[in-house]
Amino acid sequence: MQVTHLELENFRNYKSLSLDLASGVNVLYGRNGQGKTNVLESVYICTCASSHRTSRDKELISYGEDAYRVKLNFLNSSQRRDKLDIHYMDIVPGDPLRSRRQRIVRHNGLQLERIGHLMGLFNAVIFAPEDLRLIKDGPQARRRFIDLLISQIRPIYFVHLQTFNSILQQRNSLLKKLRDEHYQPTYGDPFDFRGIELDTWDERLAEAAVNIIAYRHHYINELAFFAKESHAHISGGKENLSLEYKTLKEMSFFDDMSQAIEFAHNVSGIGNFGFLDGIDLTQNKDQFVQRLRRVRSEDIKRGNTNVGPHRDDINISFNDMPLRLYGSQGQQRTAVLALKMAELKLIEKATYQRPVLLLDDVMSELDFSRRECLVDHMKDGQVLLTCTEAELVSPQLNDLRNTTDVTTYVVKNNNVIKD
Amino acid sequence: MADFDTPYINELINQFGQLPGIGKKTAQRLAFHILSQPEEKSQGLARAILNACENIHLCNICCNLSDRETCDICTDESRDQSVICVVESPLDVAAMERTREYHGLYHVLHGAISPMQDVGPEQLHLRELLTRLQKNPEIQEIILANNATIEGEATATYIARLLKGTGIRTTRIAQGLPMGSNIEFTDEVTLAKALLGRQTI
Repeated sequence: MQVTHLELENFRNYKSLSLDLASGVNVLYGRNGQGKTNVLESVYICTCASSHRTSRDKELISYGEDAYRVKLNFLNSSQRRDKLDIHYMDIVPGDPLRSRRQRIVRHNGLQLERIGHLMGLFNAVIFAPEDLRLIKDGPQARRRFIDLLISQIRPIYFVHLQTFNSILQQRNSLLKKLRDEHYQPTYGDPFDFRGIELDTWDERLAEAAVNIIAYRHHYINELAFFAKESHAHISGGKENLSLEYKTLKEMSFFDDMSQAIEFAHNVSGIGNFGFLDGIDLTQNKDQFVQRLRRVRSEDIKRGNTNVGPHRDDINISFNDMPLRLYGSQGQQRTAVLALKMAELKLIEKATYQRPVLLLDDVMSELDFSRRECLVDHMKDGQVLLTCTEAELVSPQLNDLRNTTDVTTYVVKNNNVIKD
Repeated sequence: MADFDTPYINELINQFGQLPGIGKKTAQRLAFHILSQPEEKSQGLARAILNACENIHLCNICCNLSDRETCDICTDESRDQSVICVVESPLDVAAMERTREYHGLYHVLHGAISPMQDVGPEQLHLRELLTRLQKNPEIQEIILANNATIEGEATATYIARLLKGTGIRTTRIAQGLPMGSNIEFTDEVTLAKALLGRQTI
């Protein structure tokens, strides 16, 4: 994948920007507050229609305007020219005919019916200071990370997620209703019609949930493998990074299943068109339903579903200790770098194509050995990197100039100009 | 939407505007069309609406729309009395009938379970279905032809659970590619399901 041209309209500080990008490493430098990160953000938005910095699209629109537009020209996985055009409108209420938020995504001029269809068209991995949240924040940040990652590789996973969320909302509505009716579970009375209704949603939820758990289980394992490798490389083999998928304990059966999927994919060659082709999830589904039954009265009391993939987490530890609690700032940064490099390798392995690497102001935060590792990963594929003017002459960038093409751009006065 | 001087026109526009799929502009256009055409035509429309409202009600057996107490399908003794096809709306009955391949009976639920919209099983015509099954021991199979939506699937699951242990065969219609359609226009979920359900030829 390679970005060839980027156009922005009313995106953050850019009223209008038109920028040609080169293969190899593109370095954007400039003072703080000039909009270096905004360029990277706009490119990242083309992977999944949402920003790595905010979930409110409105913040991306230039102050005083009511719509932004990002146009991206890139070479796709078959090295052919492709175009994406993301247009987001947030029109101020007051005019009843236009008071609507709308996001229009076009691929080569054709409007996509669903955001899900954007997934997998353009792949990029971003590494930014905010990524430390992956370690420091709650499980939600890690779920979002793995969900977006799997969606890039397996776009249908995104549809599965949406289905799961709709079913979850329906079930939660029913739970609130039962709570308000002071319903007492009977567990199997044939005339307890409320109970049968809840059984129904349990079954639908379980079916959607085991699908998601199967995907996460498989790809977190893959990610863990690559992360461990990258981490050993950076830390010189002294520290051991491990990722562990944390889901319902009843789902341990998945360990066997993951091997079955691996077998189906690698040995027999089937499964290339259906991730779960030939995989029987009935047993897991039944176990999930049993678990929901055990927590039923608690669920009703809270009016909420308390177990499921929406509560999953990834435990990240180094030398068998939880990284969030026992890792130093530096160790946490190293782990994030390893995770991101693993993401890059995983997408590359699954799509046979190196994604575009977006590096936001990361040179200053890493020590020598970590910078070396990062520079190693920048040698193949396209990279967009932001830094300050001083870092332009850093030894790492100089090393890079010897092995790959480096193009520099100065970012100032709401414009980006090639040096 | 009170934009005009006379309440008569505003009332007409408001009434049209409450119909499904009709926005403000279409409602206005319809209202002015009614006023510009000969009066007999408008009276014909008004009569048609009133006649339909007065004469159409739910069949006392299958809950489909009918002008008789019991609808034509339910009174037709040549139809297979041992199988009932459960659908969400009267339009679905019309669609099934167009196949000319189904000769059993129907049951119209008038909706699907959706807790978010506050629609529970008690709002659907399920009681009538259960009464039918009790009264007619000759019924051997229930075909669930609910929509392939989250709510439709849930309704089908609910009915299947109700009927568990009654000895009545409960089936769900298959999913896959529409005949005569192009693969390229098929959504990815349908295609993925069709792939999983592939058959040796």
